[in-house]
Amino acid sequence: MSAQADAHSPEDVRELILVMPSDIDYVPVLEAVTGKVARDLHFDEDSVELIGVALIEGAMNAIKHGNKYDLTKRVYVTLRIDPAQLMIKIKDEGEGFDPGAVPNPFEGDNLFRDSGRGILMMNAYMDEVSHNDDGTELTIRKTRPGA
Amino acid sequence: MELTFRKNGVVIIFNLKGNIIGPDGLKLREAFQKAIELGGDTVRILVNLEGTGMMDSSALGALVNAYTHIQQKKGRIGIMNASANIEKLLSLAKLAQLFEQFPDEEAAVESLSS
Repeated sequence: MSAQADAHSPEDVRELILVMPSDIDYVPVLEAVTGKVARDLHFDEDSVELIGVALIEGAMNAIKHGNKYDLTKRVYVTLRIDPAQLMIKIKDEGEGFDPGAVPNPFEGDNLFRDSGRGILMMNAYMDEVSHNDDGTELTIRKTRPGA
Repeated sequence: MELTFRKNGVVIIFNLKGNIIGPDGLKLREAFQKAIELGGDTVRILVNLEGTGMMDSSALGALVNAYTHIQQKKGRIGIMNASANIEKLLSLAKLAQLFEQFPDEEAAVESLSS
């Protein structure tokens, strides 16, 4: 939990928790719910789209790399809304990974790889992207309009 | 995502509508693979992104995958009607230079057919 979030009283903070199986067909549903929340928070349509893509990147990583498509494992998504920001946490039930070991997508032949750009895109579209120590939980954050 | 394709001369035109996200990337990759198989050694593909606002990294991966296979076959791939967000994405990923961009179908077919 960030210091910024702690500055708000509990009644200023709302959370929506979604639990889904490791099935990519549920990802558009997740995007639709998050889009509704982002629009209610008065993000413009461009930002709604970019938040949606960042969310999809995180959820796809959790399903594919985290839970390895194991349908018995779940993905936990928490939308945390406070007066300053929309924070999205995506947790998987996988073995985790070292975020620092992700190959640089611009280096050498990596440019021609057909994967490995998700974190790059999340960083471009959100104000903050971070992982917990074992790499099983992603947090992405976007400052609310006017905050 | 809605995907239809047709031929204009020797060029296979992919018409994509709607955002290309999540499971769409895999479908797009499979469609490219089929087109590349059908297109022979000098396959020519034009991707019309009119009506597509955004794509995720999986869709971008499908495009890169198509590019590398087409390069191996001495074919060509171009895109047209990329939204501002997709142009930004291609630029961000340093992939803009891989894909020839065309203002319209006529110009694209003329160039890609040569």
